[in-house]
Amino acid sequence: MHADEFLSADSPSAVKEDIEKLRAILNQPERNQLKLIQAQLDALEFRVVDTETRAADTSEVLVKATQISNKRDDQYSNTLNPIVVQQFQTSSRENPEIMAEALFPILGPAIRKMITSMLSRDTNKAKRTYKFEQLFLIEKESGLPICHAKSGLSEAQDADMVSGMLSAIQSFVQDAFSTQEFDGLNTLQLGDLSVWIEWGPEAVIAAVIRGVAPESARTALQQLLEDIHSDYAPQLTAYEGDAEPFEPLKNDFALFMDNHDSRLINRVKKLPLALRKKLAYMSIALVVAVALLLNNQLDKRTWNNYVAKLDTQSGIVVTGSERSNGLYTVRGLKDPLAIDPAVLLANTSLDAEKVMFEFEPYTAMNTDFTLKRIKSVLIPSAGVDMDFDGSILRITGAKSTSWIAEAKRLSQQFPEVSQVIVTPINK
Amino acid sequence: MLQKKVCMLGSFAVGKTSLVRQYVDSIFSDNYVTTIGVKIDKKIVAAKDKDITLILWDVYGEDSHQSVVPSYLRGTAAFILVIDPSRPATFESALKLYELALKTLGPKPFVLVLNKSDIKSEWEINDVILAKLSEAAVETIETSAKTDTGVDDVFQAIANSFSQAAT
Repeated sequence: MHADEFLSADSPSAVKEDIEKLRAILNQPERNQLKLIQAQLDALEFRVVDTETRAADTSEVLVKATQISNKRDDQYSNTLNPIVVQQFQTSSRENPEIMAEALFPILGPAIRKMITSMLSRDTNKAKRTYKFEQLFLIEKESGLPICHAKSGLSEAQDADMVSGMLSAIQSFVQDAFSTQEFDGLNTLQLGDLSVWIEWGPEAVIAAVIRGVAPESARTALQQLLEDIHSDYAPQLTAYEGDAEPFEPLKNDFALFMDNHDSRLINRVKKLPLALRKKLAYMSIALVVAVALLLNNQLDKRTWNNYVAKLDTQSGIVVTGSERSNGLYTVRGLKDPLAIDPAVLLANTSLDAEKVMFEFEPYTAMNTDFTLKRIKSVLIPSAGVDMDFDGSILRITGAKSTSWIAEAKRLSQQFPEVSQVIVTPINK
Repeated sequence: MLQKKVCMLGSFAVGKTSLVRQYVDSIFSDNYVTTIGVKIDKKIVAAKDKDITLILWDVYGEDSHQSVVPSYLRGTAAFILVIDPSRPATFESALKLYELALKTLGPKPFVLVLNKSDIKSEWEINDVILAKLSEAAVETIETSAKTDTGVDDVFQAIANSFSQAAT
């Protein structure tokens, strides 16, 4: 039996429609598969045509491909070699400063390692006495001092001006001999005193040394400058005159000077460097702690003395005082005519900003303050003396009879005054 | 504390060194200016919100601006340009020094100083150059190191210019 006849016997068109339906049902899985393949083809074509996607794809295999190629033969590296060399040369020529800055922290140690291995013998074994007296870190461009430290009791002029002068001398030498290759004055010598100067990309380190220091100390100085450039790179680049970010360097400088004091070296040389550093840090911490403790004790004594003195002032009654977290409070009663506690404080070493006064106003009843209050109301003219003994107010030297009358009247408002005695001028 | 390098610029004998001497307590002898060409002094000035340390570079000046060592100018945050109006030629050298500073440093704040105001009767002002420099300067101040007139104002104006730049 024919399929058409089986599905419908109604009409030829109806039969045809049924066949179409059946065909659609039977072909559906193949159609879906075709659609999927087409979509995958489109995606593949996009990956080939779009450079971004292609680059991303290539990058995934590039490393692996390079490794495989290198294992196989030298062809790949031989191709890249001239391109890299040429780019390096161009970049060095066009941006020598960037290259120099990038290489500076590694170049010094590398050169020193080479020289050490070439010489292999220490030529500076002769025993000499020397001492690093001062270290300056100076900004290369402006000559402004970034950090300064001096050892022990060595005398030092103002570091700001000395830094500027060193920088000026450098400029002077540079301009006087105007050589392009010149990269900095290295040593100033004056009898027993020498100044060693080492140059970095951003800053210069200058050391004032008494005696003859070995070249190994110069190497250490160079190393210190390299460490500073590596540890403080962002701060050096951003430096515009504020030296605060470099404050921690002072400890490093002090440590460096101690480590390069020939007299001290002889004593502590046998200790390992790490232990010496640790000991130095511990000593600094100990000194700071003792200083803080002493300072604290000193402040405490000054404060107690101040409170005691305040309490003896007329018109002031101290009812309590306290001291916590570095802040001080004193409270009590104060007559408006009494001395200002802040004025007394100014005579001490205490920081006025850390002291709070909590005083309630009151009227002091002693005769001095009563007399002060009477004077503030009566306003005697110059030459008029007033005295009060607790009940009698004596006025001497008054000329104006009207003022005397007024004074007698006004005195009545003071309950402490029982009698007013006016003594004539000529008595 | 904030520190700034400030250069004193001006022709020979316009009074730069005297202005600085009037203003600071120096540790270096004035001889440095004529020997190595520069002398450094410092002064702490109270600006609006904080103290600023001015590191003053007194640069030796001859009548030719070319003798000023450009490397002394490097890192300068502001400068003081000094003219002696009783010597009209110092106007021209001041203009040349200003141009040199502009070329070496780029635009920086500066105070224009007309020094020796104690002998004002002998002044011969070059109006064209004065107008040009005054316009570029943050302030123009008449001074006399001899009678100590206006000296403090010069350094205060410099400190204020940093304070303004920072805000």
